[in-house]
Amino acid sequence: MPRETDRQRLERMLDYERPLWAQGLHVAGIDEVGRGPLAGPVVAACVIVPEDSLVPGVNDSKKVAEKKRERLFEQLTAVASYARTGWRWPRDIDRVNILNATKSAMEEAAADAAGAHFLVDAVTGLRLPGETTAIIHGDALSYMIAAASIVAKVMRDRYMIELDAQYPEYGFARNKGYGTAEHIAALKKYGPCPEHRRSFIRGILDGDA
Amino acid sequence: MNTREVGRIGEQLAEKYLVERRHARILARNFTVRGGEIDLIAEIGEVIVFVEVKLRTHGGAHEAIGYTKQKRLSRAALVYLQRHHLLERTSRFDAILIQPPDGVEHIERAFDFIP
Repeated sequence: MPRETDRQRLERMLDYERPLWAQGLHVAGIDEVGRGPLAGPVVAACVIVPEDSLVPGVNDSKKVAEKKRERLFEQLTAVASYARTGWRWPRDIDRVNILNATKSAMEEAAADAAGAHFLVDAVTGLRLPGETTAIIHGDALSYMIAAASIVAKVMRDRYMIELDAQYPEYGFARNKGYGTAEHIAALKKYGPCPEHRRSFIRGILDGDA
Repeated sequence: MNTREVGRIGEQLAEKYLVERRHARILARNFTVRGGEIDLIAEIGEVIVFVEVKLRTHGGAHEAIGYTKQKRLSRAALVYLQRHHLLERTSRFDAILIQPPDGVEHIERAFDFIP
């Protein structure tokens, strides 16, 4: 099969949005980044890009190279009629667990978009101020969720680069808090910093993980 | 209103959601076989979608669809696909949670087919 063109992908990624726009609804995408890392926050974004201001090249943040992601971030935040992030910190994550922290970050990000139709990547049972469609692999299937994934990813990455200056031992600028070999070795050597999720690193600090 | 009628309200709202918001075509309502009933069967794009509708009357916690229920729905879905010669088609199970007056949460692929 021939490779999908950008144009074809854009059309496919609007399958969820089109019928909603046709009814005059505002369509918001919600996604999260940072559920897996050992350190740093989980960040959710809620984004509304109007139908007539779509930015070309938007795709799942995991499939977009860093430089292009930065550019898309600038373009998306310039045209978005709504863009808000919600942050939950390591101490929140330790207290309420990562799933609940992710949900409340998403709810916060969406809080001011009342009346929109929300497209959410995989998470269910959210208290959102409008109709909701939860889509598995939503970041690959919906433009608006992909846009939210880019906003969340860039915001969180920038924060992790700042953290790297504060705690240079762990390589946060490179690993973004994820459990790379370098990061785990540093954790064993220096112990955790205040930005580590205690509930995630117990096994590593105990010794043999 | 009895439970049956309350259920109908949920199904009507779910159907409206599917048709208006997802451009779905409704293929069947309350499809019943021995040992299982499917609230709505729809076609969204190329995909056959079996929908379990849940009405949240107390606004309470997120409701799960238990294993036994999943099994019953799977059996009914298989019968439907066989009867209509649709076994070759992609299909999935969704859930739509309705919270009156206008709360709708649509969960795609709420669970997987249980053989």
